[in-house]
Amino acid sequence: MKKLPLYLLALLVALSCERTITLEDDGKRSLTLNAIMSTGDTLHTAFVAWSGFDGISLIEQARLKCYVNGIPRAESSALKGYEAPQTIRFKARIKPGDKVRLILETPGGDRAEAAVTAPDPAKITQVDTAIFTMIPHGGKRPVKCVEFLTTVEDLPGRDNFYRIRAFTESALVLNVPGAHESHVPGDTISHSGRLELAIINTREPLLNNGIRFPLRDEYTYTSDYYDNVFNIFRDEGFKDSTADLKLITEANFYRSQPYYIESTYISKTRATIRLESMDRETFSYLNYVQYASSTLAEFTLNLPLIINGNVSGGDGFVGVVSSSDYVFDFADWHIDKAGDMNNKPI
Amino acid sequence: MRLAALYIVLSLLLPDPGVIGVMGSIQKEHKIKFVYDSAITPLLEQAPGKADLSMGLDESLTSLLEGSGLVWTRVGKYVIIKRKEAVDSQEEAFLSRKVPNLLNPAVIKSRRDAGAESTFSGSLNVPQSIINHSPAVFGEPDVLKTMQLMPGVSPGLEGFSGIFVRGGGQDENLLLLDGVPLYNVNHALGLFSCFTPESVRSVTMYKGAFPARFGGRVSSIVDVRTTDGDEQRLRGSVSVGLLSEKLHLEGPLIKDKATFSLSARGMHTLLLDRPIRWMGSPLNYGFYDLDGKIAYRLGINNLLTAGIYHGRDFFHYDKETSRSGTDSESTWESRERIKMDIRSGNTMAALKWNHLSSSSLRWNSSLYFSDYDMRFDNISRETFIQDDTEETVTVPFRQGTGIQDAGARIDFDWNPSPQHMVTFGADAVLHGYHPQITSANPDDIIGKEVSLYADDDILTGGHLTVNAGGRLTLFNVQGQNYLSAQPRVSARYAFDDRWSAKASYARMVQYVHLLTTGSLSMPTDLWVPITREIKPETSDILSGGVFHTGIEGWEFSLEGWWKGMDGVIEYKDVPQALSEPDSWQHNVSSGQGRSWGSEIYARRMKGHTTGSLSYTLSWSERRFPDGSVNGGEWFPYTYDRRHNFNLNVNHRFNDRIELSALWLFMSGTWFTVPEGQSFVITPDPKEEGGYNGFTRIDRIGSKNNFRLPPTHRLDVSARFHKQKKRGERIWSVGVYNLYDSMNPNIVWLWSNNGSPEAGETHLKVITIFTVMPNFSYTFNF
Repeated sequence: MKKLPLYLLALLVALSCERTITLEDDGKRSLTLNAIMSTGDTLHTAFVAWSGFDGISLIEQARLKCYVNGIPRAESSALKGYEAPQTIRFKARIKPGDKVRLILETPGGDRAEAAVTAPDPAKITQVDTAIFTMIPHGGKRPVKCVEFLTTVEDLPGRDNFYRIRAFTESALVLNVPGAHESHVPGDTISHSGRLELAIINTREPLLNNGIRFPLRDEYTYTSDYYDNVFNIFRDEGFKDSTADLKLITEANFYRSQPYYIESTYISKTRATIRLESMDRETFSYLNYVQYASSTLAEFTLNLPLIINGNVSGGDGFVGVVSSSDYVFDFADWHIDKAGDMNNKPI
Repeated sequence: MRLAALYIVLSLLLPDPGVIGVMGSIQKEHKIKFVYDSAITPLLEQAPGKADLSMGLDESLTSLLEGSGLVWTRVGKYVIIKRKEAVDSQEEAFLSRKVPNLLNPAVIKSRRDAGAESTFSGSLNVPQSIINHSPAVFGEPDVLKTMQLMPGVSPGLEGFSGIFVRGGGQDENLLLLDGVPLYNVNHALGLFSCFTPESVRSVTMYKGAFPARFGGRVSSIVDVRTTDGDEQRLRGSVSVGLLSEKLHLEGPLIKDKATFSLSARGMHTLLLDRPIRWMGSPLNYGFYDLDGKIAYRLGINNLLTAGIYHGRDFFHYDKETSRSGTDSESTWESRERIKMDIRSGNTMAALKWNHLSSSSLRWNSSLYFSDYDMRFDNISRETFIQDDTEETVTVPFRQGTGIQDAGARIDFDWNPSPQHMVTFGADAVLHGYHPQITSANPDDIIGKEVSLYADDDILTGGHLTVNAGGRLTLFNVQGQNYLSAQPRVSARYAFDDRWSAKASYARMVQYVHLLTTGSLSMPTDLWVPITREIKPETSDILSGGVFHTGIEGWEFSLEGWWKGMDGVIEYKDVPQALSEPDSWQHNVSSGQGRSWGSEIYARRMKGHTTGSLSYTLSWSERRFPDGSVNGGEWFPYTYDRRHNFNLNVNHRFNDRIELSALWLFMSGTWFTVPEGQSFVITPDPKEEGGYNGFTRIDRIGSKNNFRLPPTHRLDVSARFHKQKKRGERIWSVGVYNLYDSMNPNIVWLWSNNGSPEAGETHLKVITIFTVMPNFSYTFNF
């Protein structure tokens, strides 16, 4: 009698049966076209492939045409890549309000196309900066951070969807203190470039759905959420008005520099805060993409993941974002030995 | 539940021969009067009628009615005879009050709210006898599994207790225990419901037309009433089954004044916790239910009752593992202990006062409290020892959810004239919701609900009966007021004594939702209220049907319905960024639903062979216009079972042996499967302005695009009765799923999404409830 529950459990497991239902291949394959263009760029990339039951496969030949306001602006059949999906690059200048149409055709007569309109861009009216120290969510020790307090002005009279990004552009002179490979002591290395900064969005309600993060309780949230890695947000809460976004980045703009570099001298540092305006469909697409890539999607078994495509005659999604940049120079700022931004001279 | 009936009061000497003659003799001998409903005359005539007039009155009456399915109650010089399960205390008090005045008129009219003869379509009574004879998993009779056999009702997963009524969701059914709502009525992930069958007197379900006194859910009301206790003698039962043991006791506390009823049920694992641990098992699960009630009669016009229910589930896990090793320079040891406790359950308490103000007015007032809570405690402690250093990391995690209701209500029944039977009343409820309790987000939501209602059952004088009324509810939450008017109208046209037709319209409103992520009833499922953002759910239900009661002991019905729903919620296909449990509002979408179908039902309640047959043909769909689910297109609801057929037969060979059999067939539920593979592009932060990355995904054209295989099975059971010196012993043996049908109990998708190789996507189907013998031992005394 005492072992009855165990016997029952064993009986239940023993009698449980597993079988498999094989899903049938319907034999159909779809010409798939994915592209997100930006008014801030002239060179755009389209991803193309055949999608089918067994996976995605190469397209042997295809031609992509781009029309802007009904006028053909680009055409290319240069498929790049040896694995699916391949890419086709094309050049076109797109302005807000332009109607953009992409058509992908194969010699066999398959055709996939999508038409979208570039949205009006919203504006960034002001950016204030500050340097402080904080413990990022999930972190253990304080790090030096830069805050870009960014004022965004909403487009009036409608629901708006945005993505916020931050870049720095610097020209550096790096000193090599000792011999290393091709360098001898006293060498200097000039370096310039543009870097997209990773935004810590846990302190910005617009970017984290207003969730109050317990900064020191690093264990409460592990796999239960997925991060807004693309920093997309809606205008809920500041419709037809302005919002101040606290965009925090770690101050180690150039920590990836070689370890043998002892000191740096900064000749110029410029920051760009970019606001991308998009339509609801593009916003949903990006949200889908970041969710599909998250650990939450893997753990929750929260099927289904249905993506809303807008490509007729095939699969995929085509979108356009309109960029608005706020560019400013860091006055009297420099990068210290640790690679951190500082507002005091060395 | 209130039974309505046509009572005929007999105050005259009853003719010989037979039982009626014996009753006449008893009347003379003991100077009493018998009172009973004419409908029970056939049962009365089948009673043994072996009363010995030399015995006392109580003994005479007991002998007279033994085995007839009838019971008696003494009220002064009147002896009321009724069906064992039929009459609740309200009717009894009502009848008792009426008796002195109605000896001459001899007729009392009362309202019937459920069944073929009521004005309300889609309403039915399920007596305890059906519940006890319905085969079930592990041989445990279960109220909700019995409800699954009713027309228009289907289970979520085969073998579990969830009910889905006429295309509605699991949370769209209001489950009332003695008039008090319970929120999570499941034990063991839904294998059993919390209603102990022995304490249940009757179950009534409304799914088409609704009396105005009911509200709060959009698909059905399940009104479970427990027994007040036997007024004559102490009786009860002890039962031991495969999984649990049960005890039921009821009887008089004070003669002719007070009665009690007490039921307890618990899993064997409750008692075997220590041996289970001793045997080295790190886990244990159990549940128990306690159900008690006291009824006190204050004079002939007042009845006070106090009831309480308490049930809990617990899951316990405690395991420590250790590893050690030696590397080139040192030795190390790692110890990890994980301790987990999940406790959940309901507590309910209610005080009621039934009062007869006059021969035409009575009222029933009540105060109640209902509490559901779930606590999940997990702590993991990892210790790493290397050389002389020891490092310990402790990770605690605590989470909980809960909901509490405190309410007061008063219901009036008023018969201003023989043509009008009016009910009206009011109720007020304070809801406390704790959708998710973590150390970080202790957000509670308070809801205040006030309702007024009235309806009138109007006898037009001809063949037509009309019930018209409505319910007005004000719900306040987060500073937002939601006012809803819920009109209800039903009509019944009786062609003759055998044939009738009904039609009805009802609007229902719901202020709470259940968020579930799977098919099983998990303790972690979230009951969430409406909020400023999430509006109430409403349904508009049109139903009608034809009913036939012309064959003695039989009932037949053919009903159809259409139901439109607005405000149904569902998890979005893709949650909002930074999604986690506390932000449930961001992750659900509010949409529409529609369902329609028809039902055929036949049942036989008398004779040696009883049972029921039901067939439902139905459709149920959902749509979320904001595009967050299935791109805004209509899609089939997960539990949209096209065909649902049940045949339940019980045959009593003699007083000692009876056999039961149940065969059911249901279309499979819907599931979402990938139709192939595709890819999405991703912004690449390494390249300025570029959206230059990609990731592979499953390509899914629409939600719920694959129907799972149908469910069908045959259950059989036999009950062997034997009269012993101190009571009746019953052995019950049975087999669940006799021909071992491989029904899909758990299904999941197996996919190698992300791999460039050919897709290996298929469905894994687990059948838990294969052929399963069961037995139980019951002793009734």
